[in-house]
Amino acid sequence: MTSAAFIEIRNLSKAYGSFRALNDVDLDVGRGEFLSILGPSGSGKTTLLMALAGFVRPDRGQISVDGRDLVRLPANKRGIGVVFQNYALFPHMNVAANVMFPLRVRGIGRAEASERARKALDIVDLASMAERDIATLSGGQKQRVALARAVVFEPRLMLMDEPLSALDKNLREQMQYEIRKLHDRLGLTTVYVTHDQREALTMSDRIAVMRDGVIRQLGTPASLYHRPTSRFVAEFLGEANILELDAVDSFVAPEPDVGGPGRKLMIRAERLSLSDASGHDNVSLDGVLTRSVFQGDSWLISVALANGGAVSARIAAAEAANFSLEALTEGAALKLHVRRDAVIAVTDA
Amino acid sequence: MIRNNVRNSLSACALLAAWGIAGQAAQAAEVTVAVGGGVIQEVGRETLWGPAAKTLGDTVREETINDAYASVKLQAAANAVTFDLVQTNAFQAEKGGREGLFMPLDYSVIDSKDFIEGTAQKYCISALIFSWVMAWNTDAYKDKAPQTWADFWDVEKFPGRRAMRNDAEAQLEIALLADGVPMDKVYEVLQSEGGMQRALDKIEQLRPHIAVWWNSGAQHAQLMKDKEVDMSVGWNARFEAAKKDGAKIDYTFNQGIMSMDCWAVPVGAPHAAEAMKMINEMSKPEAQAKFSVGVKYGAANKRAYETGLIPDDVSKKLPTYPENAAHQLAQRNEWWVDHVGEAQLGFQEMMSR
Amino acid sequence: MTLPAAAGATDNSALLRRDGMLAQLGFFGLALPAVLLVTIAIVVPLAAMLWISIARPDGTVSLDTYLKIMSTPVYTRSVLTTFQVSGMTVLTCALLGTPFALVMASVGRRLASILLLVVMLPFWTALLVRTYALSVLLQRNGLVNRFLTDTGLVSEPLPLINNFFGTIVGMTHVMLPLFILPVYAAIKQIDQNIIRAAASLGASKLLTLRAVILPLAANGIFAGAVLVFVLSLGFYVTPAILGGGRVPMISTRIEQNVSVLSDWPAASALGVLLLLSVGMVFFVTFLLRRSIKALGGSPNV
Repeated sequence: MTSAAFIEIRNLSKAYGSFRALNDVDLDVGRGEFLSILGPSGSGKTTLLMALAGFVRPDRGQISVDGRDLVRLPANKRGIGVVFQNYALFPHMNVAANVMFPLRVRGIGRAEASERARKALDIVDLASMAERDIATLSGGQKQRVALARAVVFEPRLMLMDEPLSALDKNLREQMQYEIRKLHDRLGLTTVYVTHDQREALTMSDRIAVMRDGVIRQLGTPASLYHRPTSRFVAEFLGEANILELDAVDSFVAPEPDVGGPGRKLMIRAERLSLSDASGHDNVSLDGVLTRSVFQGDSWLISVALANGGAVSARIAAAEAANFSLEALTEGAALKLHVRRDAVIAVTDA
Repeated sequence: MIRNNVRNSLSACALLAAWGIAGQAAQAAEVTVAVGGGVIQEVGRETLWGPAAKTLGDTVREETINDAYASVKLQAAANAVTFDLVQTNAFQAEKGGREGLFMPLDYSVIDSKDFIEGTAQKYCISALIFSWVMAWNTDAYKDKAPQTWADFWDVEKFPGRRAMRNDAEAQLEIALLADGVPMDKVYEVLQSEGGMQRALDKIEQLRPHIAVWWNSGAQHAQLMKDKEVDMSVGWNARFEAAKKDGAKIDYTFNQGIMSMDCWAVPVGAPHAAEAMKMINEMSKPEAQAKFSVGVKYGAANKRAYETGLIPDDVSKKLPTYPENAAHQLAQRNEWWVDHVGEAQLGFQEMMSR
Repeated sequence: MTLPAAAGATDNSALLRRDGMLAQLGFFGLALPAVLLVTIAIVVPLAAMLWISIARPDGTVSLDTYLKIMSTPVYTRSVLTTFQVSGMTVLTCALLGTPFALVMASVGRRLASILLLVVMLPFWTALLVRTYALSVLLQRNGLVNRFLTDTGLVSEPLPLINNFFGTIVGMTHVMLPLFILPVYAAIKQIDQNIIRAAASLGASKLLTLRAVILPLAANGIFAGAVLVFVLSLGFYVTPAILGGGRVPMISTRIEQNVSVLSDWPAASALGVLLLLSVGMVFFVTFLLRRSIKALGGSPNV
């Protein structure tokens, strides 16, 4: 993306003492895009979001939204909706007052503000709770109010800082769906911070994976999952087997970077199979089963490879059903198969 | 005034102490002297009851008290009076005497013929004398210093800010003197119909020029030192100390009101007869002179000044030095005990107007 | 897992209940020394004070002393003065202390502890010393007046002391830390994200302060105000010294009645009135808090 980008972040840096939270970050976000920033804690993802919102003053760099540089603009002048992890609702106001707040701040009359708040609450299915006290709401309801409050003033951009991490698993999945639905309905450009890779994969158009203040890889969920460029991204997004370059026969390894981190091979656990499906360019790995764990929908087996190294393979229940139980007991010799294009060269860091 | 809070709690402690002592059998000729502590206790031990006990063959046990009236009242209420001789202010002695807390002094034992008039009273005899005097800033009144209370009231001739005590005591007498009442008629006028009102009206007349109504002894000398006021009513010793400190102030004993702390004997004192004898010893000119020099308060026995024990430069600064005493009024505690309620209430009402 | 109800199993519920009660009793025993102290040091003297204020010498009971106090201008004026001084002290504490607490809550930890130290510093100085120190500052030839006259800001020294003003300055000086601490604690408790949320929703700093921070700190401000007011009601030293005899508080009258007039019934009655005033303040506070809570749900932007 070039000049068409809705958000352009250039050379953004922020240090806290000797800790570099953001290190020359460049990032473009397209209009209407749902972009997740994914990373472990301390990776700089929240700092990046807070810099966008205007709560953190970067040491250096530009942030422009819709062609307008706003790096020096105070938070209250940016017109950006923000949803926080702990909801950050005003506990001394009821639901309607919370949602009306951004409208009243903008000088919109009580009647119109009330009507627009009702519509916003309608979108999040909370129209009936307008007069409720914040303290009486459940976690999920609070997050819906926070959503309604953040969209009611029609911001040009929505920022979310791990908004679902305080919710339990079922509610979280439901809310993931609803937030995405809300995004699609309003066409609102959204930057969404999370440390949960499943959440990022589920919701996003693109994902930026951060570590140590830099974006390690940016791409669609599928490309990031299937074609990670680094060991870190590979392991952060799913179950990854990391092998030496010579572990796979006749694999043409790329030229190693001189002075850079070494290269490794990466194979996703679920791409390894016990059966040799024909019609594809497959490679096979010989080994001995060292452990097998039944996990309901699949078996997770550990295999010591004949030519050194070890892998874990996730065998789907459907495939496992084709084999006898003896074949999956410890000490059994077996052969694992994988499509050649599922063997990925990654940097070793 | 502030100290009174401490006093009240300390008198409660005194009550507890009295309980403890009550059980013991009184030892013969051990006279218990209760005093306020500080320099008075130290000098008194050396010059008053110490030598007196030696002469009489007694021993002395000292108690330090903060409020003689309250302490004795508590002892009496507990039926456990242990003090033989107490230092108290004259007002409380008179009040306590009438309530039966203090016994009339035995003037057949105590020789008081050379005492300044009014300082040997029914229930108590002077221990030390201080005076309510007028002080002024010597810079503010270079050419002509105020000399009388009438001058204190004369804001035309002596413009400036003034301070008085936030209490009726002595201020009423001063007001009447300012109003032209002769010294020997002050209490007569106060006693008469409308006399107190006359004093209060006189104070009210000066009220706009009173910058500070002071509450504590520490406060009023400081007010003069800091030039917060140009003229103030206050205690002679405090002004003398400030003057010595280099403050640009002076004061006059003229029309001063002499007040005193005195010795009293509680009703039920275990050694009352010995206490009377001891008072007699302590009232002799030599004892009075030595004590006076040590504590820098005035002696009530006029012959103290004839002993040659008080250096000239000291004696002239004492309120009872004959030349000073001649121009002063001895405060009459009998009147105050009778009228303290209406006087104080009247004063505060005047202040509230 | 449930145990099968064995036939003939003894019902031990009474024993268990007794164990529970004994355990609780032992626990309350820990509070016994404090309860005794409170009873002896507070309840008994208070009862004595109440009794002295209503007892006649002949042993009957009457409200004469109270009626006398109510009808004596000296006393009614003192009551008024006491409330004026206390109210004014609360006001100045609120005006000076709230911004200070805000700054303290928003700066870094190190600066905040320095500010806290500055606030607490006077606390480690004896009240009397502090009060006299203030008089050195405020008197006619004090530092403030000398600065004002030397710079020509005023031609005559201002009357900063020995009056109502001086009393309020002194009282505020004493009370300010007591106001700041609860307010600071309340502001510090506000979730930083709530303040950020207000900004992201478009509220300026001032509006955030008015519509979000202050309402959320209201508990602390209330607590501070009540604390300062109640403590001010019984204040003695500062008005006595800095008021120059012009600010007669109820406490001054109590002292006079005890030490000069020996009128213990009047002193006791004034003490009871002071206590009732404190009770009244708490009651009004309670009512106010309740009505504010009832209003809390309405939008107040």
